[in-house]
Amino acid sequence: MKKSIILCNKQWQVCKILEHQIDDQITLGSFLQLESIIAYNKQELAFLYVPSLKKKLPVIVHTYPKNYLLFLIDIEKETLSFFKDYFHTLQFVEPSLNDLYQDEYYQIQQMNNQLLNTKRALLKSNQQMKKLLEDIRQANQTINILKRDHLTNLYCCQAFYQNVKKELDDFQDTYDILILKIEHFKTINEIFGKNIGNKLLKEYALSLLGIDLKEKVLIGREATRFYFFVRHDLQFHEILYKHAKKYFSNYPLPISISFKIGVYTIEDDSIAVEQMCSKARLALEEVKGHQRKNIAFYNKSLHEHLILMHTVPYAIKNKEFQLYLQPKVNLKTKEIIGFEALVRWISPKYGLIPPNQFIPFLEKENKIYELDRYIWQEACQILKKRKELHLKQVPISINVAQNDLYEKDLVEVFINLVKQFDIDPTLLHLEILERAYKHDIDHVSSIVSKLQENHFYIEMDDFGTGDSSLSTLSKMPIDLLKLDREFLINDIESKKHIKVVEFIIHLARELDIEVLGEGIETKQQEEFLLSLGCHLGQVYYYCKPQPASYFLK
Amino acid sequence: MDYGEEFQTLVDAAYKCEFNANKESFSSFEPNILKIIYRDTRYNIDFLYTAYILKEKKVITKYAIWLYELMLTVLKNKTEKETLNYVLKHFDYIIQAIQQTISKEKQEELIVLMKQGKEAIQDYVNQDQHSIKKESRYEKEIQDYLNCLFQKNRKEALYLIQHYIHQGIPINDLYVDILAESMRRIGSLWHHGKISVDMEHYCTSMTQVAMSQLYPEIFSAKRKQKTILCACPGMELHEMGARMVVDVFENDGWDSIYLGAAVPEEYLLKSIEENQPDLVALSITMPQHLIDCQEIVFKIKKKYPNLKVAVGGHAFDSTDHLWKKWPIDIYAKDARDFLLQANQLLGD
Repeated sequence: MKKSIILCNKQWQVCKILEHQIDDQITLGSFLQLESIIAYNKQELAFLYVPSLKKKLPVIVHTYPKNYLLFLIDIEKETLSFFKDYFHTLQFVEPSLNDLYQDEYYQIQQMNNQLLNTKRALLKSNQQMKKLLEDIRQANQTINILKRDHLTNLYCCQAFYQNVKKELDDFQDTYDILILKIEHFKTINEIFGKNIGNKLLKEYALSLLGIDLKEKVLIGREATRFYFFVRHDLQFHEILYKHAKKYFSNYPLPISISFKIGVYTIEDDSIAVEQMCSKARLALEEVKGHQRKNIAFYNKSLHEHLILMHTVPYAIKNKEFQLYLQPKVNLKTKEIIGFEALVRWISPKYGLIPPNQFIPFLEKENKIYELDRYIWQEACQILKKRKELHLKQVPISINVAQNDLYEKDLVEVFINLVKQFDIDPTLLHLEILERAYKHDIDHVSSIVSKLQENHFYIEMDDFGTGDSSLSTLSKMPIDLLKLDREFLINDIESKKHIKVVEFIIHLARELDIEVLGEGIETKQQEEFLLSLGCHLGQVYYYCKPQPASYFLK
Repeated sequence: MDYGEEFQTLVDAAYKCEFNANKESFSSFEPNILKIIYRDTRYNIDFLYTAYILKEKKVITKYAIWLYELMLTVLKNKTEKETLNYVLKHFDYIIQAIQQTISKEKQEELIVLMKQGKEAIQDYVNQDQHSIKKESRYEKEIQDYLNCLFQKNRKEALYLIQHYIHQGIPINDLYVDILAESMRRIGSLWHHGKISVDMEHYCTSMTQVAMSQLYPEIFSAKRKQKTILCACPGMELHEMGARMVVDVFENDGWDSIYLGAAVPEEYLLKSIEENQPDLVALSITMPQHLIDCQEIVFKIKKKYPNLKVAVGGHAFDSTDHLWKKWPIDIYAKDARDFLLQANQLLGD
């Protein structure tokens, strides 16, 4: 749209056309009729009628003492050039203020109406947009519902994260994230089939509805992990634990279903929900495989623990692991008949780290072989040194982890070790956990037989913790049975118990297997074993583990 | 409305009759005054033709009274008696011109209508009370609003409308009982010379702005999945009524397509085709546009026999239930009444 301003004197002679420099002093001639000027809110609006153009042009006229100022609205270039040519012949008719109800009134009204209609249309569109946005929000909610896990109808991971985030954004409160993991689920799937496994997950999810909390709990599922988001002060872990314990112990499957719970109390809601969940998962890892502990809470040291675990390879290089020896004694004569090699991690940063804090991790991460080989080497070193120092030649028992048994070069490694340190293989006793046998009896038996052929001495560690039957005991190539300390902790005065232990000892003797009692902590326990005919033991109360160097004196 | 050559000849003849009868005074008038007289003559005959074509004598009788009342305020230096004579004479000049220019068979009907117009004025003058003032149940609200307008207190006027809504006055009542009634009174005040024409314009504009304030509220109502298309057909320029209709419908959850004033026939039909509304509403304020409206109603019904069509507006007050002769589905006296009927008709 183009606007031009025409300045006229009171005789309607054009003095100036602004924006378009046209010659001054053009006279309005007979072709211009200013049909009317009407007062409208102090502005004077006029219409110039140009007969030869058959056009009526709206103008706004400002009246000054000596001249008029005309604003031409919406002027096209051609029209303006018309003005340039014809101004000198245009004529002006004095406007009549009485002439009110002409078309012009309607034109002003129409302009006004058009403005209002535009406003109306804009607002209507605005409202439609709002409606559309609302629809989108609703659709999003539907998508959220769809984001539910089809099996359990709980949230999928992503949806769980999103909803937790929303809750955290909306409410200022302390919350917990809990993860419950059903353990050994693969076994359930393998034994009973995937359908039964899925049924278990589905039914457990359904049973969660029965937990009466009277408050909102967000629940998600990922594989065998159930995620919970709940207000901290509800102490939900206790409720969840009790419920799960009752539920799984009564679950109609001929297998014991175990579960673990990891809890993270959200202290820092600026971190991503994924990270919060991984903290709860970290706590969960801590109790994984643990016999008695089912719930773990995240704390900072746990986090540090994780970092620490990843430094194990460096720690080996740094010689942060030290060999400790626990004497094995003849309970009758108190004579040292051998040692068990134990590992201690002395970190320059965190001090002494007990084995149960890093061994399970290394086993899980398949990094135990590296550490074990280091310890085996150290043990051989001690054997060699004791030989050089002409100390009594007694065997050292070293631990062989379950995973180690699957290392292809295992037998070779032992053969090379005795060669390298020039020691008698019978002095190297290999301790293998009972559950390693149980896991894969054929494989383990074949490896162990090979080791026996090479004159290594085999001990079965932690006997009694697994549930191997006594018949499997007869099939297994073992030289010594280490009775788990469980046998000593249990009521040693109960007649039945005494009979069981007695039976095992006798059976072992019949099978030509030696028996050693582990973790003897009291004189009473020591006498108990002696009375049943077990003469070998590791006694804490007078023969504590010592650094290997202690036994080089 | 263009009635062709016969109409133009009649207008020229009527002007000539009046000019010749008052040669002396007419010669002293400025040319623009003469132009106004000519234009008004044309306007009066326009009403006559509307009444004739629609066969509605009320169009001319109601207009005649309106014209007389207006002249009372325009011809300030004349007595009531003089004004009455002036208007009656003016009608006589038209009758003369009819006799001169119109064919015999049509003549009689036109003259009867003109005479009925004259009688209506005389009856009106002989009445003791011209109108019985009706009190609205929102009398105070109307008075407050009008006072704001007359004081040109824009801010206060806009505030008042919002205030009424917050007080709990339903939007439909606000439109029909307060705003429409205020506008009717303003028109009447101008007609009786109590307010100037620019004041009338100002009040109209202000009221439209005030109405536009309510849009966000009106549009946020829950949608009904029904659409109304509303327009002022032909040359009808008064669109306040139509605007009120669409707003009241929007407020009820209808979606509206508002085409505004002076909507050409083709455009209206095209818009119906494009938008497929559930209901088409046509608003007519001035009786002259009823002929256009009649034509378009028949055309819409012919093209879309199942489409619901509604009419309404001030113009129908000047007829004797003209709408009954049309193939329409709804006639409503105001926006509120219209909405009620529409919801009944379209299964709300």
